[in-house]
Amino acid sequence: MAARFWVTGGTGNWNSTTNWSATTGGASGASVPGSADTATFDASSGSGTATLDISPTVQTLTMTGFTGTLAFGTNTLSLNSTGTIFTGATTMTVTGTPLIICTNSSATARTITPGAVTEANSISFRITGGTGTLGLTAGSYRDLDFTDGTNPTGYGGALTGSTSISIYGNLKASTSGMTTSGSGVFTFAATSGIKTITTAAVVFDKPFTFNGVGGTFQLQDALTSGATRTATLTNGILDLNGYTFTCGSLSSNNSNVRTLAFGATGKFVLLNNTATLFSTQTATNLTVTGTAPLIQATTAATTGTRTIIMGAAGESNAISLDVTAGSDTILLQTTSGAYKNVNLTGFTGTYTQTGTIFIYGNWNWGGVTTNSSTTTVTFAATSGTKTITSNSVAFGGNVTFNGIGGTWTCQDALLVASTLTLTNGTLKLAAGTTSTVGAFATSGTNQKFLQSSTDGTQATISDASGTNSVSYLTIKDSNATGGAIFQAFTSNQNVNAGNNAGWAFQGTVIGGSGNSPTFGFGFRI
Amino acid sequence: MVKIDFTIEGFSDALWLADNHGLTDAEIEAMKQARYEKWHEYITNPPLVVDAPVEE
Repeated sequence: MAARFWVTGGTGNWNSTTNWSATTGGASGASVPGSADTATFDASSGSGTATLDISPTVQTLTMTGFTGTLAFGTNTLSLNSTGTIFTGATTMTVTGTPLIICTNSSATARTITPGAVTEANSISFRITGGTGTLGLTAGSYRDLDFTDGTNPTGYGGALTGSTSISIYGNLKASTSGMTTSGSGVFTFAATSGIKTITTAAVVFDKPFTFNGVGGTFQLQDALTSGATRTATLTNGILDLNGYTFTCGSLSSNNSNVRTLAFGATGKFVLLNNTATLFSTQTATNLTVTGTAPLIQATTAATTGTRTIIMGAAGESNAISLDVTAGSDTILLQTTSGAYKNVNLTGFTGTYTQTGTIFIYGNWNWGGVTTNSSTTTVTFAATSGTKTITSNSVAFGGNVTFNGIGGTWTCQDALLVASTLTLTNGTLKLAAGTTSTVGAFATSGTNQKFLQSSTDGTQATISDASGTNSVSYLTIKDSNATGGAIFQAFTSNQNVNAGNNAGWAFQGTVIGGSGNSPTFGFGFRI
Repeated sequence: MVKIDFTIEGFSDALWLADNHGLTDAEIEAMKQARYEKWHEYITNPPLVVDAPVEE
């Protein structure tokens, strides 16, 4: 093995003996480094440009202290040894399509030390084989490709390290049995273009952060990270591209411009069992796209609390939540959190909630055994028919229906411990069942509709006491009962659309104040 | 390389095969099922996270 040092002070080609020396800063004329040699660029190598006029193979490459430029063009540089095979420098510049191919196929460990170079000066690495551990030292990488470049096979060792790295390009795992572990964060930081992530069924037991203004980070297959690892979207577009992203928790809690793109069938599966599973508490400038954006909590936890902090968002940016297992506590936290569907089928624990939440889709209580929430749920869809499945579980606080153009069809008896308020839209209580409320009210001057889920068959609404006086409400197939007075005076723009019972439609409020109004007359039909 | 997308029970993934993989349709379907079952086992019984020593 021979050591070779780049000594030219000006521009020169790699494949020229005029640029190489046997000693640092020594006389030129040494042979061009080959597959049995090491190559070094250092502070004595000048600040000129070294041009890869060939695609050479050397054992290792060291750039420490180099202040010049390594011009790859379309050539590549292969490193065939083990140990520390590459050491970069933040003082150097690279141009072209910089790709270093690591070809050693032994079981001996290797380390790559690129340094914290800029995106423009980052270098791609392809690790084509070997089964020894591979240490990716803290720093910046462009592409990290663990295949042989042609087939899905390639590197088959353990990717180790608790240091965090930045990846400005694509990540591509091999199918040769490579493994990963360590708490070092993989930060995808590209600021332009679409960068792809291909895991080839490798579990990347690492935290992932996506933080590139202008960058798009797109899955090419399912991504599974460690069961307690956090994925964070800080800047850019995280595009699931229809694939499943499994991790411990997901966070995108900031005001940066960013997008969660789910694609046709993409979803997050969140495995943490006693932590904040999901947070978009500050959802400012967060855009959600996809056919059916979904997060799923699938862990069969028996104790503790899994918290979901969904930030305020419009209907178009709402995400659905499925809790498919567990008997612990599910907490929906924050004020004005926006969800599409909430489906608790499979969950058999306690539900709780802090602050008002907005539901733009369906609700299914599933197997919830205890609802300890006393805060408001507002159903706010503005189109289509949404469903509510209670399974004998009562909403503990107020429930409001407020979506112009929205229709909600109850699949069974709706139970509301406090006040059910219909502000906009159409509420269809389940035909042939008795829905129970703490009070029933309307709000606003838009006409809204109370109906039965089956036209011509009454649905019963029951309230034990008090007076429920509504306005701007069209009522059909409704049986009001339970002990309370239900007033829907036509003088208050209510409409008796037929097949009703228990409602007083004829009467006029002529006086009174506060909670004790005085009515001229009223009778029930 | 050949990419084959699939979705099983809501799990969406892709197989990556060599151009000359030579696998039958039945073998490919079995690979899809095996991939799904491996993932399902992972989410059903997540392994403990083991952190490597800090490196610099």
